[in-house]
Amino acid sequence: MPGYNEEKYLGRVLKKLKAVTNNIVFIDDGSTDKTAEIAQKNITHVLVHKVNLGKGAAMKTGCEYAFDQLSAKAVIFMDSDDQHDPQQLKLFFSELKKGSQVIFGVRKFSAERMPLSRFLGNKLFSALVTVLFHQYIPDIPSGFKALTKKAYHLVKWSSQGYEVEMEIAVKVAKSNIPFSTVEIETIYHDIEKGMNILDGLGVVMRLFQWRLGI
Amino acid sequence: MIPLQFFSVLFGLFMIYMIRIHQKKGHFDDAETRTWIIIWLGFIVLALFPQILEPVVQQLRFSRVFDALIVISFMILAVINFINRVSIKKLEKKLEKTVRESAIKKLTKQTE
Repeated sequence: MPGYNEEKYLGRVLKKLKAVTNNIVFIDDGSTDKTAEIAQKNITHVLVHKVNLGKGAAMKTGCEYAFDQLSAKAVIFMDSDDQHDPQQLKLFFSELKKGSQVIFGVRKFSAERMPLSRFLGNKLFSALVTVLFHQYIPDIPSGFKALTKKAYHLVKWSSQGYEVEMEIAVKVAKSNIPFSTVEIETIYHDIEKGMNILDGLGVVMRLFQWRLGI
Repeated sequence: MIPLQFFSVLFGLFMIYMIRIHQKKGHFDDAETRTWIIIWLGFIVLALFPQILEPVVQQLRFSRVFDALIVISFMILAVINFINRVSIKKLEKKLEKTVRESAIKKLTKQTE
């Protein structure tokens, strides 16, 4: 679970998460608030980036720690701002047990739950990946997803920021890795947080760079 | 001297002043300082006496010296931009590696 300045929600997220599993790794990505302290109070495995690198870099740190130090066979990523329901981890556990290498958590789209700009951006990302990489992957920006160790080595990303979600999708599409999806609930707390239009444009630009191989 | 030449000379002198400041701060060594000063002195000379480039301009079939200068400037900017991009990418990767490794090392020590 990567997080940056999440003191507002982290405590309650970790409490809910601990009710489901104790195998939790939190990566504080250079927060300037009490995020790291809250995480350390609640769980054992808290990695702290000295400076803010971005979501992609934090996810990579977490993966390497989980796979190399904890000998994990798979990881499930979750956002730390209480957008995801830890109870739904069971859906991922079940898919992993069935042998899925990559599992994307796909949100139930509805106008009341998701802001229109995000809904359109979300659909645009999937459409672009379909056109450029010939694979339809729904809800690419969703941060709730799972990778096995084998899949991690195939999709290992270089993105440091929010574009990581897109890079994972592109690599899954390019490598023809079989994936499955699970339907998840999403709660929006802070619309201002997360990816903004500029981030979105940056992601689209990167998408064309990956298509061109530059 | 036309206004464009006047401003070009002022700009060249300003850049030489900037180079001196960065040399004093230790950002440039002597060799690098010398190279940049030569480049900007060359720029000032060309701004004052653009006819120096006349034979080259005719050879390359540019209609005016100014056009040749614009094309050359764009080429130089493109090269500098590319070098900067590569350097920034390298630095980003080094920073990322250092920060990530240090985070893992610290936690591994704590949990041992």
